[in-house]
Formats: sequence, structure tokens, C-alpha cells
Amino acid sequence: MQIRIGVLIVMCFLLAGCGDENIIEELAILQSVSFDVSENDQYPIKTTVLFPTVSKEGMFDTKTLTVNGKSTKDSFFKLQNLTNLKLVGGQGTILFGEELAKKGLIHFVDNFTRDPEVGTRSKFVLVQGKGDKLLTTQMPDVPDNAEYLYTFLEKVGAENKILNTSKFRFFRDYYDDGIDPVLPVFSYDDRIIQLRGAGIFKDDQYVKCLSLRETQILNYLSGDIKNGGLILSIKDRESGENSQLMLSGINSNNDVKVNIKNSQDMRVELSLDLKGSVLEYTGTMDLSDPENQKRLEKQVENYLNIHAKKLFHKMQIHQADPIGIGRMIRNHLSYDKWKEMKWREVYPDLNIKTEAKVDLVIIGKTK
Amino acid sequence: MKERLHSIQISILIYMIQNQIVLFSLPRLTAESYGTNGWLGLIFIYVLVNINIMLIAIIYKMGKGKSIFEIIETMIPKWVMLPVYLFIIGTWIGMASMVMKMYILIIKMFFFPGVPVTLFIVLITYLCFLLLKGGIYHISKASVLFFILTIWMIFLFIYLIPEFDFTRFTTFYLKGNTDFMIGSVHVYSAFLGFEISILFFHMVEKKWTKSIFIGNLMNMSIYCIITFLGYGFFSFNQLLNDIYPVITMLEYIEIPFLARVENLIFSFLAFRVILTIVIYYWGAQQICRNINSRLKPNYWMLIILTVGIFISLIPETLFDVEKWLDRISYFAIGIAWLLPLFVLCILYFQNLMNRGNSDAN
Amino acid sequence: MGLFRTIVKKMFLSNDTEDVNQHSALKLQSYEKASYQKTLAEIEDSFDLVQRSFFQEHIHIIYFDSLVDSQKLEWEILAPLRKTSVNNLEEFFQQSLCKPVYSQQEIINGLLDGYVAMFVGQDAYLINVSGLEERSITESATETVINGPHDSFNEAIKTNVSLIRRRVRSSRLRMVKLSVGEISKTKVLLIYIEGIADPHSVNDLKKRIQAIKIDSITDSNVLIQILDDHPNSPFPQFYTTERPDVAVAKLYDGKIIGLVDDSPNIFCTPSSFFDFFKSPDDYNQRWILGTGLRILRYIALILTLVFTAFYVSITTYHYEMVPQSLLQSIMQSRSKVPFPPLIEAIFLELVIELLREAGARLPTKIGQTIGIVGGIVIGQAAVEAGITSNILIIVVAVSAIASFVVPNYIMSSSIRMVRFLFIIMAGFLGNIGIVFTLGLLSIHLSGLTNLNSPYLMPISPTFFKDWLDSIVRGPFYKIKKQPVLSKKLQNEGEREN
Repeated sequence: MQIRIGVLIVMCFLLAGCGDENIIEELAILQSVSFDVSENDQYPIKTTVLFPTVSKEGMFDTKTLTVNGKSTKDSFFKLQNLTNLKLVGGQGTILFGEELAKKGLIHFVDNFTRDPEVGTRSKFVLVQGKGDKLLTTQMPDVPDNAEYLYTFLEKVGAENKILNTSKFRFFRDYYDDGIDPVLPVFSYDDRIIQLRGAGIFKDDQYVKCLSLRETQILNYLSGDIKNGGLILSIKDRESGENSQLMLSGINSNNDVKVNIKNSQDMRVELSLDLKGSVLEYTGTMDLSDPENQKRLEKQVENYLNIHAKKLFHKMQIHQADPIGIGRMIRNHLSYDKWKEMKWREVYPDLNIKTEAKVDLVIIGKTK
Repeated sequence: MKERLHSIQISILIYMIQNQIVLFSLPRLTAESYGTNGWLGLIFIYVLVNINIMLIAIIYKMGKGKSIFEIIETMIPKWVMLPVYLFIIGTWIGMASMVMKMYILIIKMFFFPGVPVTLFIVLITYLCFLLLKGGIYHISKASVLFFILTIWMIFLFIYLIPEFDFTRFTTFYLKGNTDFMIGSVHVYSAFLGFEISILFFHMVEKKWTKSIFIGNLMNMSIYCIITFLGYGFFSFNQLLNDIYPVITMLEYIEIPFLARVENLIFSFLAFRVILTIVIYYWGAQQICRNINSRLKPNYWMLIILTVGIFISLIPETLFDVEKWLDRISYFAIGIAWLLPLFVLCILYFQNLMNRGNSDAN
Repeated sequence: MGLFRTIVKKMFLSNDTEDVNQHSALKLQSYEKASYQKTLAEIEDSFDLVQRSFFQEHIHIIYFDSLVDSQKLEWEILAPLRKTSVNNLEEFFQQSLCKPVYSQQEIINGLLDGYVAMFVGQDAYLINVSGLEERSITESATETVINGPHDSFNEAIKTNVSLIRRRVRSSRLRMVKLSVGEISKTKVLLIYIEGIADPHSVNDLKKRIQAIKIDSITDSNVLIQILDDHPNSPFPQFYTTERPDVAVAKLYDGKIIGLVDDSPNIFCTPSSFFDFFKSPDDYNQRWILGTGLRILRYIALILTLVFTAFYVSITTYHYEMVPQSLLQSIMQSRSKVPFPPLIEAIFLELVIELLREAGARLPTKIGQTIGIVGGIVIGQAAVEAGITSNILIIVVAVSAIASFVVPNYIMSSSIRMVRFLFIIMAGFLGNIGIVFTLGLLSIHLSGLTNLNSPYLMPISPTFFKDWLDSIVRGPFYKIKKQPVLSKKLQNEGEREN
């Protein structure tokens, strides 16, 4: 009996005072937000939001809104006044314009992580040019830019471990003292949205966009890969001919050896063990011959070593460490030594070597 | 047949009543207090807690199952103990209401910014009322159900394993800006709740003390798993920067048909929080009954719940609540250690006197 | 206390149960002496009363025509009487089933039970020739199985007892005959197996039934509501069944079953919440399948309780829980609906309940029409008219189907009722509301008892060994013969004695 009375009391209580409803069709759930530098000095941040709307007839559409604001919160406050729906954060993608990213993202991002509405799985993306343009441009083949970008990112993330981004990953790598975050970079034109490669960061500042080829290699260098792919063009030294090679089903093992004699003399040796199968080969070698197969393996190894070296050089110049070499070194030092050493300064002059080993497991159906 | 708590029930009860509200920030707390690889500090605290439990077990053995009130009051008159009793009652009610308030404020912050606090207080207090009305047997039976309703969540953490990386643990042990003493007290407060078992003596089946250890071990393993995962999931500085890392971890879990499961799970953790609250209220009620057994236990219960509601209304912000909770936790830890020690001393003197008497005879 | 128990135990063990009443009647010193005139006076004006006299009013017999089997009457009484003479009456009494009776009350009771009352001078006798009309044994309509026995109890207690007797060929089968109702005097039979059932429980139940003060009971379902420890709970606490095989299985589990005359349902006690989720089919299939089915039912339980509530909670408060890919379709289906999700859900749930109730009361042929009207017309039209959303219809339908998976009809109705509380709370407080209600429900369930045995046995209090035959259906070589608690109680009882 007491239960019923109790329930009754609670009910009355509930009926008396309770608001805070978020009924799903009355919400503007942000699918995508972009932040850019605006031309206005007083309101330096340009925010564009994209959210899906559904009309009473059940027709699906998207809507974009743009404002300039002092901060992200200021912008959201302004945006609330531009729509009949209640604007709430969602799980979607957050785009940063190139210019803004170069200034550093952290203050900015920190601001909206306070808001529990923004999910930890929200994807972060860099845009070459202006982020709002990518969202607002009507492209003939893309019905819904945000949705398109989201699925695109999911595909990219599945293919390249390193381009798998989220708010959480960005913060994790930013706060870790031996690694820098990486974000995928996209570009757009009138027709299409395109992946450009990995944007590498120095702390929270975007420094350089790696090409797709470099991103591929970066992906293999950054960790163990299961079932990956690799496209490379190799030049045969003897015949001098260029040929295309496409590898698939690659399982790679990545092992970092750190040799430390003293704080000046540190060597990092990255050994990469690739096992993959040939999907396409445009060269003239007869791959059914074990000799030739060995030679091809050698060529791929060479390719990887050279390009990895180039890549490291590039990253060292920009003082960006997306692979986490710093972490490896940290785990080989004592706490005091690591704190003494200024990693950012040591990194550019670090001696990093890559040792690739390639095994071609299957060489295709035909000879 | 008089109903008695049997061993599995006690294990689960002990596991459920340990202070869960600290769990949400536990990885950060260990990182703050012990530095890198701070999860190792949990083991140290665990040993301390076990010593504390052992004290209770020794009392049970030495006192031959007499309740602590009987033991105390053979030596010391009730009115001398009254201030001590009142202090314990005050601390326990305070503990219960602060845990409740903190949970409510976190809910409000994450999910229901617009709902008034009093509504949640009334809801939780109402559940406490129902549980208290049934007494400890009802509480223990409900705790088993609550256990089943919450334990499955640990399996959700499997979804975090792909993000787990040992390199983030670092090879440094307990380095960084550490605050060993204060931090340890914080971490210790995550285990609090077991001390109420000192009041169970006359309600249990024989050989029950083992099950307190088991309950504590269960809790410890959950804490360990989550904290350990946290250290591989977050980078160290990120851990220091996140107020409630466990909630972030839950937030990251995504199962195919549900995103943001933390929404659901955090609500489910209410069960554990409710049991912590209830057991402190129950402890206070037991002492009240001992002070004045003429008043019906139900009246005591109502008085305690009302006091609890009022205390929980005092601090307004999450920051205040945390400060209060810290203070009260100090007292509660003090009680957890000093009360058993005090009873042990009395038992020791009693034994001495008994021996003296038998010699004289 | 111990002594008392032994005495009680000895008392009802030494009496073979059938004549407990007679025994106690004999002990009463002050009873009214039976006589022909008094009997006639007490039951005059009955349409079916027959009175006959033999040997020049030396012998009178009275019986109710509607209650006796006329063939038996002819064979047992009339024919032998015709053959003998007044002098040879001794012989007649020796060969027939006569039972000497002394009190007037007994005569009346006997007559009402279909006995023939015979008065010879000052002596009165009762002769059993009863032959009540009864339904034949048919298949159970509410508890069907695919594999296994298909017989079910009917309204005649004697038939029901025979269905049980022939399954338990043991001398340890004990029956306690009681009667309930000042006017109706309904027979209640408690059956248990001695040595397995807990004697305290038997005593307790007996006392409880004897203590009932009521004019009449119409069915065992009424009786168990009077016996309930917690009459204000929405949940049924005594397990009822009309399947003899289930009843017998309960007997072997150490439970007591109760038969009520004129009711095809037997009740059994102590029963737990999980008994309501068992079906004989679990035992007649391979254990892996049986376990799977059990788990399916618990999933159904959860679905019934929270599925609709969860929909309401998500669409009203927790939009962020919807994965990106589902968001679009949920928004689309909700867009036309003018009401908040709570109203929408309650409306649709009510429609489903109406359909179910209408279907249950109507004859089967019309019932099908109701299904079509409900399913197609309301479902389709409501969506098109924009009163409910597509997805809600799916949700409500799934939870309705899930509710029918629960094998026990009464339990399934209780769960469906509790579900409304979940929906309402979800509408007010979202997930917290659901969890709060779940807490309320757990606290309520864990506080329930059935004949002083916890309702949630063996989950809480926890006896892991019993899980094999309650939560899941373990293989037979693993299932212990007897639940742990009943064994424990028994040992305790033995020790006390």
C-alpha cells in the first residue's frame, strides 16, 4: 500500500515540476560544425553548423547556419536565435579551417569539451581552405555534405589506422608528451570532396599536410596493421623502367628499438615487417620465378626505406611526431632524464632508421 | 526460522555498499596522488582496507558474536558514549547525504541540467525509505538484484580494448606531482562502506567474516580493471585533466544499436549509490535504536531520512559538495579505524578482568 | 517448541488423512444426534431430494437425485435391499459401503457430497454412491505444450487426485483435506510428499487455510489471493497450473500443491518468481534448447518492461543515444506526430490492451476479426493519420509479443501492467525514470515472500546450485534432486527434533 501512496506522491511531484525535454523532432542535432577564422576582427571565429531537418510531410533536408562570434559559446548562443528548433550538440564531425588550425586548436577545442553534449567520438577534420565552404557548397553528386563526410571518414578510418580520428584521440595524443595528434585533411571544389592526406601537428598547431603516399607509409610506421593496402611505384635499377605495384591483405608488424648511450647520442631503429599479397603489378618481371619475387620484395623494401627516411626528415623539420617516437624514448629513460631533456629540441636531430622487411605471400592468379 | 544473512549475500552486500561515487574519478585520483602508474597505489590501499576488515573480524571472534553495543556497554555507561554515538550518527548521515547530492549533481551536469535537485533527492530518499523499512534482510536481498542489474556493465569495457595501449602506461613508477597522504585518503574513501559490517554481528550465519574480504576483493578487482584500463586508454596528462575519466570511458563505448551508452549506464549506477546511501542510513538507525530503543525504529528512520534530506540541501555547487564529502570521508575513515580499535581495547580489558575474576574464584 | 512440533507431526502422520474430519468430529462430545426427521426438516423444499422407505418404514433413505449416480445407487443399495429381508439386514451392512454416522452435521455434509443417508431405527449411515457430472479430461487451453502429456485437470477434485495419484506411485504421498467457506464448504486438498516437503510449511499452510473466515470461494485463484503474504502486490505469488505433470514435478521439488474442488487450477507453494517462467517444454527438450528458451523468456521479460519506455525516454530526452544512422528514420517517423512521445506511446499501448482484452472475451471466431481490425486498420491508419509513428508501432508490437512469451498468463498480465509505470516514468525523467522504476520494482520483488519463502529464490538469497533448475535449465545429470533451501530446512527440522 505504501508503495502505491509513494508512487502517487512521486507522480504529483513529477507532474508539478519537470521541464528539460528534448523531443527528438524538435531538435536541431548538429551533424557537422565548422570553425574558421573570420574576416571580422571583433568576432574572430566563424562558425557554421549543419543539421538535418524533417518537414511535416516527412521530407528530409539539411540546413546550414553561419555566424561570427567571439568564442564558440558566443556563436552557439547567436545560432540559437537563427532557428525555430533547439540547437543541441551531436555525434557528428567537427571541421577546422586550415588557417585556424595553424594558430592552434587547444583553447578552442577545450571550450566545447566542457559541454557533455559533444560526444567523445565526434570526428575532427581539417579542411584545406574554409571549413564552412565545404559544408555549404552544393555539390551535384553529394546530397548531404555532412553525411557524406561522415561516411567518408568512417571509410578512411577503417583503411588507415592513423586517420581514424575522434575528439578523444585528438586530446589523448595532445596531452601525451611523446606524441602529436594527426587529423585527416580534406579539400573541396564545386563537384566533390576529396581526401588530401594526414595533417600533422606540433602540439595543437597544424604544420603540414602529408601527401596520400606519405600518409600510407606513416600509417605503417605508426603501428601494427591488419589487412591493409599499399600502392607504390617502383623503379627498377637495372632496366630503369617504372612500374606500379599494388599490395593488399597486408599484415604488418612494427617494432621500435631504442639505443641510448647518452642524451646526445640516441638512435631509433624502426623495423617494419610486412606480409602481403600482390594485387596488381605492371612491371615486366615474371613473378612466378622465385628469383624475381625476391627481387620485387627487395625493391619494395627499398622503396619503403627511402620514403620512410624522407618522411621522417620532413616531420623532423616541422618538429611533429605523429608516430610517437617520443613515447618510445620516454619508456627507455628514467623519469628525471626524460623531464630534463627537451624533447621538442632533441627530436629534429634524432637519428631514425627504418628497416623494412617484405614478404610477398601470394603473387596473384596469373603469371 | 529467523532469517540470517548468509555468506554470498554478505559478499555481494559489501561489494555493493562500497562507495561508488569515487569510482568515476578514481583513475584521476590515483594519478594525482601516486603519479604515473598510479593504479599500483590501489593495491597499497587494498592492503590497508584488509587490515581494517581484519580488525572487525577479530572483534567478532573475540566477542563471540555479541553486538558491539553489548560489548561497549558492559564497560562504559551509555551516557558516556552518547557524544561518540552522536558523532558517528552525524558522520554517517552526512556521508549518505553527500554521496547522494554528489551523484545528483553529476546527473544534473551531464543529463538533466534543468530538473530541480529536490526532485532527485525525493526520489532517491523514497527508494531508501522502502529499503530501510524492510530492514537489513530486505536490503541484502535487494542488493543481490541490484548487483545483477549493474554487474553486466563491466563487460561493456571490452569495447575499449582496441584503444588500449601499454606504451601509455610509461615505464615510470609513481612519479610526478604526487600527493601521497591526502590522495590516499581520497582513494581510501572509495572503499568505505565496509565498516558498517561491524553492526552485522548478531544477524549473520556463522563463518561470515570471510565474505567481507571476498566482497572487498570483488570491489577491488572492479576498481583495478577500470583503473588499469584507464591508464592504457588515456594518456597520463589527459587523465589528470579529466574530472570524471570513467564517465569519459563510458562515453567512448559505442555498441551497434546504441551510442553514448554512458547515458544509460550512469543511471544504472544509481543502484550502487543507493545502496551506499542506504547502508549508512541503516548504520545510523542502528545506533539510534541503541541510544533509545523505546522509540519505534520506523520513527528513527523517518527522523534520519529527514535530517539527511536537509543536510543534502545545504551545499549548492559540485565543488562545495566535493569539499564536504572530503571532510566527512576523513571522519568516516577515522571511525572505520578507531571504532574497531576502541572495541578491541574494551574486549582486551574485559578478557583481562574475566581472567582476574576466574583467578580470584 | 520442538516438542510441540513433534506432537503435531505425529498427529497428522498417524492419521491417514481422509478421515481427519471424522476424527475430530468424534472427539467433540456435544454433537447433535442424527435423525431422519431433523434431516428432512433441514433440507426440505429441494427439487432434487428423494426419500424412500423400505420394510414398512423401518429403513429410510434420503439422497439428492442430482448428486448420485443412479446406476451405482441401484447396484449398491436398491438391489441388495430388495433381496434381503428385515432380519438379514446385518448381512446387507456387511457387504455394502455403509459408514455409521452420529452427528446431524455430518449427515447433511454427506448428503451434499452425494452420499445416500440411510436411517435404520436410531442409527444413521452414509453410503457413497456419488456421481457428479463432470467435464471429461481435455487438453489445457491456457498452458499448451508441444511435447509432453496433454491431459489437464478438470473441475472434479476426485479426478484431479487420480491424475496425481497415478503419477506418484508412492506411499509417501500425503493429502490433507480441509474445507473453506462457511456456506460453500469447498473442499481444499493439500498434497505433498512426506520426506521431501518441509513439514513446517505444511503446518503453516494448513493453519492459514483453517483460519480463513469467508462465506464462499469460487476458485483456487480466489483462495490464493486470500492466502497471499502480500495481497497488495501486482504480482501473483502462488504458482497455479492446470497441468498434472507440472503439479507432480512441483511435488517432487518438495513443494506443496493445493487442489480446490470445482476448480481446474491447482496452486503450489512455496513458489518463486522464476517458476512463472518455466514451461514443461523446457524439460521435454534437450537441455541446451531448454536453457535457450528460458533465457529467451527473460529477455522477453526485459523487453516487455522497458522497450516502449526506452523508446519514450530516448525520443524525449536522450537523443544522443541514437546512432547517427538511425537518427534520420526516427526523426522522419516522428515528424508528423503532433503529440509528445509519452502520450503517443500510452495511447498505442492502451489500444493494444483493448485489443487483447476484447480478444480474450470474444468467441474465437470473432476474436480473429478483432485481430485484423486492430492490426491492419488501426495500425495502418494511425500512422497515415499522423497520430503515431511507424517506429513506435514496431516497438509496441514487439513488446506486446514479448509479453505473451511469458508462459503464465497471470504473470504476463502483471508485467504488462507494471510496464505502464515504466513508460510514464520514462516520459518524465528519461533513463533515470526507467532506472528508478526498475529500482522500485527490484525492491518490491525482493521484499515479497510466498509462505515465508523469499519470492526471488534462488537469486536472492543466492543458492547457486539451484540456478541450474530455475534461471536456466541445466542437464539432468547436474540438477540436484531437491532445492538447497528445502533440504536445509529439513535438516534443521531433524536436528531440532
